[in-house]
Parts: sequence; structure tokens; C-alpha cells
Amino acid sequence: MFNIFDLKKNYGKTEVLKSITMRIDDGEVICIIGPSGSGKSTFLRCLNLLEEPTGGQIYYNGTILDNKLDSKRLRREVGMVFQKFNLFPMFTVLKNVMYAPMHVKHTARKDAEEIARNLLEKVGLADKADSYPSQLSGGQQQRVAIARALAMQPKMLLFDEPTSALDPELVSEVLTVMKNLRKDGMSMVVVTHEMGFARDVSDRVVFMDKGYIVEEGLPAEIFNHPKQERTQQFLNRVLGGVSYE
Amino acid sequence: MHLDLLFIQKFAPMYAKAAVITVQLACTGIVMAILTGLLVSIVRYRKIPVLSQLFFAYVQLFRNTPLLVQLFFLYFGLPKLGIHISGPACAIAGLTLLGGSYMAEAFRAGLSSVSKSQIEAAEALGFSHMQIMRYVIVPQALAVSIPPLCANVIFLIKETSVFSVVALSDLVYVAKDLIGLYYKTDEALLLLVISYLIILLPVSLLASLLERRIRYAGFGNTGIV
Ligand SMILES: Nc1ncnc2c1ncn2[C@@H]1O[C@H](COP(=O)(O)OP(=O)(O)O)[C@@H](O)[C@H]1O
Ligand SMILES: [Mg+2]
Repeated sequence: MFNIFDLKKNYGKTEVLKSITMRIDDGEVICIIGPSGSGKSTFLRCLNLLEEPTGGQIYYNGTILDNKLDSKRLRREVGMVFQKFNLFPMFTVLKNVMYAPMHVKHTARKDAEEIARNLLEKVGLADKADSYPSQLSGGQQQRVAIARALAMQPKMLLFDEPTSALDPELVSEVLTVMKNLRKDGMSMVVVTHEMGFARDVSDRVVFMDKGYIVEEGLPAEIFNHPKQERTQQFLNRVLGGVSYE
Repeated sequence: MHLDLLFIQKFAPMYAKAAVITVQLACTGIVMAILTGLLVSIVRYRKIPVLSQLFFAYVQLFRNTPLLVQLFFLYFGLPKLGIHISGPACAIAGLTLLGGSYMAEAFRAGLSSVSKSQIEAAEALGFSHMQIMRYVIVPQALAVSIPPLCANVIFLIKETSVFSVVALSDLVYVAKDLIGLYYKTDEALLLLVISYLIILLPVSLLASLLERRIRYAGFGNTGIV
């Protein structure tokens, strides 16, 4: 789906992405790991053009993304889930999920509602349709945010640390929803600190540091036999010596 | 105190007529003030160059001078520059300019309450810039803007009490006139107070109802939004 060559992003003089080259195939689940400040969010946000790259090329299904005009079409196909959920606080859960299909795709209200209710069912929140976001736990809000992104029927979802803002006991309900998406064949790029999820669920793990991809490979390779010393150091630090084998 | 009820009965209709004039001018001025405020706040929010700075200067100028002074300028100052405008036009222009500067601040408060992450969420869902304004920013901003907007409406209606300086036969004008003619100060002022209360009480009531509804909706928050 994505072919990325020598992607660069600077903020003024700060080089955040120095050179990222990678491809993302249809149906793939990729986890991006790495220390904070390494440019993971920035990379993800370049994929749906929330950030404008300052260098390199991104091809989406063969066409180069080189102007802002492409962004609307792209975003219909590539959804995003944020660390802090970013639900619309003034609307009920149901309206949050129906809103984009109705106004962006001009789906009829009745159809949009049906799609929304099915998706809420799928993320286990059918009974919360009439609640407001502020009445839900973080885990529930994040599941609504996933349903909201799915309502646009995207081909791919980008997740930026979807469980980092959650209390530990709420993490698994969100990860379960994401695992189910995987079973449905959804393409996903997930920035995460959940190493268990990265190891068990992803097809490929990418380790980023200081604006570069240091190493990528199958989860088993990265977690058990990292080739680069930086990867090893990072894993030792986050896993605290706990082996995942 | 002994009130002359006959006087009150005789001149009440005059007050009613003046009240109608006051309300008409106030309504026109307030609607135009709201439109002006919207325009100014959107230009300032979008940081449109030049216009944005110009509107900032406008807001500061009119928020920090009294309506009376603004009307003097429009009614007595402009003719010296060769621009003649009628009394009612002055009144409406004055209310629009003063009100516009206050309304702009009310809308600005609303607009700046919408966080960047809300806009990003909408962008990521494929909303265009215009759609984001209409479907995401405005509904959230309104909830924040409505209480100060209501306060401004009441404030502007009260400000109409200076319209008599531009020779309009508004409520204060009628009262002053009657006092001058008949020296019935108590009765004339009582009628004046009652007239303003009749105009303002329903507006105040409506405003607090509206605010209560917003607070109760509260987007599910039990406390104050
Ligand atoms: N809008 C911005 N302006 C300036 N610097 C930024 C901006 N966004 C991110 N950065 C910087 O880019 C670096 C990488 O950020 P980010 O992509 O969020 O990293 P990560 O998600 O891996 O923690 C950080 O040092 C951050 O300070
Ligand atoms: Mg990040």
C-alpha cells in the first residue's frame, strides 16, 4: 500500500526524520517501537499527511503523494487512532461514530447509524451509544475512537500509542479489539510500547531511533536475536531483562 | 411620595411607542453586531494577514471607548468630514461597532476553546477545512460563546439608553422631554424604569434558560463544563 523512500521531516533546524525507507503491504500489521522522541509519531503522521514531509517520497498504491489535495482522498482510506482518543466531546458516542460518514461521505443518516451501531457492537460498546465521551473510561473511549475510524471503512489504520494514556487494567480491552481487527485482515501500523502485543500480533517489527529505522524484521528475530546493539539496549531497558520466549 | 396616576396613564402609550423604537434599533444593531463579531473572530482565528491586525485595532478601539463618545463622533464628528448620517443610522452603526467588538471577544473565547487535537481528529477522518469549521469547531465554540454572547445582548440593550444624544425619540428622550414639560420627575422616571424592565426581563430570562440548557447538556459532565 505504502512505499516510502528517504522520507525526511524537519521542524526548522530540528531533523526529526532523517531518512526513512520502508514499504507497507496490504493486510500487514506493523509495530513501530523505539525510545520516545525518536520520531515514531512524526512518521505515522506523515503517512496520512497530518505532517507535510520535508523530503523524500511517499507512494500510496503507486501514486506519489505530493500535494495537500491528495490528503482528503488518502484519509478516507487510511484512518488514525490517537493516544488521547480525541473524541468529539459535545456528541454522544453514536454521533461520534456516525459523524464522519454522514458529513464526509454523505452517507444517509439511517445507513450511517446502522454502520455505527454494528461497529459499537463489534468493540463491545453497543450499550454506550447514548453516553457522552466524558462518561466513559479511557479504554472505552479508545474503543469508540477505533469504531469512529472504522466507520469510514478504511483500508488501513494508524495507531499512535493507543494504550499509553490508559490505566494498566484497561489496556487489554483495547488490545483485544485490535487483535480482532487483525483477524478481519485490517492493515495496521501501530506505534506501541506494548512489547507483548508487538511480539504476538505483528507481522513485522520496526525499531526506530533518532529519526532512523535502525532495524526491522519478524517479531521473533527482533525480540530474540536483534542484530543491532541499539535495539538490544532498548529491549533490555523496556523488557527489564524479562525474556519473552 | 404621591404619584400622579392620571399622568402615568396618559403618557404610558408614549413610552410604549418609544420602547418599540428602542427595541427595533437594538435588534438591528445586535444582529449586525453578532455578524460583525463572527467575521472579526474568524479573520482573527485564521490569522489572515493585515485584516487580522486591522480588526484587532478595531476591537481595542471600540471596547475601550464608551458608546456615548462613539455616537458623538458619528453624529457630530463625521459631518465635519463631509459624511452625514441620520440619527437612527448613527444609533445602529454605534451599536454594531461597539457590539461587534464585544461579540468578537465572545466568539474568540469559543474558538480558542477548541483544541488542536479536535481539529486533527477531524482532519484524520477526511473532513475538509470548511467542514471542520462548520461541523467541529463551530458547535464546540458556540457552547462556550453563548453565555458571554447573552451577557453582551443585555449589555447592548442597556446601552441604547444613550440614543437620545443623536436626537432619537427613544425612552430616555421621552422621559427627559416630559420632565422638562411637566416637572413630573417621579412619574416620568418610574415609567422609564418599568419600560426598560419590560424589555430586559424577558431577555434575561431567556438568556439564563439558554445557559442552563447548555450547562445541563454539559456533554455528560456533571459539574460545570
Ligand atoms: N510540531 C513540532 N515542532 C517542533 N518539534 C517537534 C514537533 N513535533 C515533534 N517535534 C520533535 O520531534 C521529535 C520526535 O517527536 P515524535 O515524533 O513525537 O517522537 P516519538 O513519537 O517517537 O516520541 C521530538 O524531539 C519532538 O520534540
Ligand atoms: Mg509519539
